[in-house]
Amino acid sequence: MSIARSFGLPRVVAAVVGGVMCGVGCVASAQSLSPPEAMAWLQRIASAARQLNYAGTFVYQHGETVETSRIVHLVDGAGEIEKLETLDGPRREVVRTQDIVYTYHPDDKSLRVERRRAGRSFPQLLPDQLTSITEHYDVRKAEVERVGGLEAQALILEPRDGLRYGHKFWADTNTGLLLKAKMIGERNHTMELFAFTQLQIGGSIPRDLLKPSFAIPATAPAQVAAAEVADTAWLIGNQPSGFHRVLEVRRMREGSSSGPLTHIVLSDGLAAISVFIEPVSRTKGMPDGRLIQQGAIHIFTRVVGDQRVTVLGETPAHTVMQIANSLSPKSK
Amino acid sequence: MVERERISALMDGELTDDEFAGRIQQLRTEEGAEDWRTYHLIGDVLRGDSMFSSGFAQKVQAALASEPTVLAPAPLRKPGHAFQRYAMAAAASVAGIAVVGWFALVNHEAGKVDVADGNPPATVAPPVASSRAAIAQGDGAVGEYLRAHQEVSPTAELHGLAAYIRTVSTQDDADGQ
Repeated sequence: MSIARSFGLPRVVAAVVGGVMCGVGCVASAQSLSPPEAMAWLQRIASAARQLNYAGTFVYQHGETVETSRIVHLVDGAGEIEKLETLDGPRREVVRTQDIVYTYHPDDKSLRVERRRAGRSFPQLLPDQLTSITEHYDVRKAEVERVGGLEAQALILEPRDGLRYGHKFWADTNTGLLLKAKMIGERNHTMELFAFTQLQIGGSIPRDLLKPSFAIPATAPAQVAAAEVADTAWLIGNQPSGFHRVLEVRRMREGSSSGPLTHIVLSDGLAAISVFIEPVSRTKGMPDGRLIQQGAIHIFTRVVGDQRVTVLGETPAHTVMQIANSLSPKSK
Repeated sequence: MVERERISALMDGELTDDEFAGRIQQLRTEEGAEDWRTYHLIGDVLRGDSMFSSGFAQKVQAALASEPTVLAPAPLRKPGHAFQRYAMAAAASVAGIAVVGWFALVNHEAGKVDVADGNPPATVAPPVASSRAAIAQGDGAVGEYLRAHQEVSPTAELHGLAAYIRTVSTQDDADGQ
């Protein structure tokens, strides 16, 4: 059954419909997964994205916009190397290695070099994270469908409250690679959609496809120094339920020698919200008290004393604003 | 259209003496004078002169009107400049598209900001010129925040590098200032 149907209906009705469908011998109706089963699927998806060699074309849809991009991911002895390039609109290229992300805009030849944070959230899922996901989402296995020419198992993650979005994932039944993903907001509105239209998994993928169209600098600039974990001395008075602090760091701002930036991360195990705090004097031109939407990500910024607080995450606007509006420095 | 092309040719000094006299006559008409101003404006835009404004041509016309006009045609060049003229006309159309495209972009950018804040609309849509600069600068920081966020989001991790499309999507055109 489609997520569109199951989302709008009370769960009882959904269960009855599912039961009727199974009564006539169907195997594809949504079935709730136990926490370990749910987690096994999510882990499989995350591992596949990092451990497989693949090359393909995907579309990204948000609002009225549909964009096509090409992605290549190869793993060898030196680790992962991957490249993303946009195929329509302004040309953009992202090359990511084990520890550095290069963002290149061929039109104005600007190149950004940023260091990646060590220790990613997936696929080494912590037991806490598992508990958190199943506590805040009802994870169900749905139908098997064809996506991008491959057979995919659909999974539904339905949020248990309005503080987070729902998800539908279609994972390749053979490898677990995510073939299609939809983020679903209120009233079944699709916030954003990723879908491969063509994909090669494994086999011989020419290394040439990874070749950047820019020259990789021999050394990364000093400004991209690793972030250090810190107690940032900021309080969130009204933390949205289910979101916990998972990281608190002070990082250097790109291309600036004017001091570090505070970055606090909250997560419910699946969605993440980032809080960035830095002196107002360094953020000239950022709009005050405004909400910006970028695909499924909401961004809200406001000034607290002499600091600018920017909160963003792939959650509904009110979740982001609740955090922004209740942030204050810890009193000494 | 043919008349207009001849005005363009006049600007480029490509007319014979006879044609030249005819065009000067044409310039004395209101329509001819308007074309003359338009072609100069297009030329300015193509050369990257940023001095143009709606009243600029009129001001120059007014200033010129108070002075005696000296018309000194350029030496007659070899025939075969038709191609150049068409190229010029083509370039002028491109300039038109570029100007329209730029304004469309500005509107798009201004519209992107005001999703649902508590401010009255008047403050949400500041004058186009300053808002472009402000948002361009703001997007630089926002782009950086978005990239940092990709690295810590479990949802983004499921998508692998594909999640980075959010940070380089067409919405952040002004990113990078």
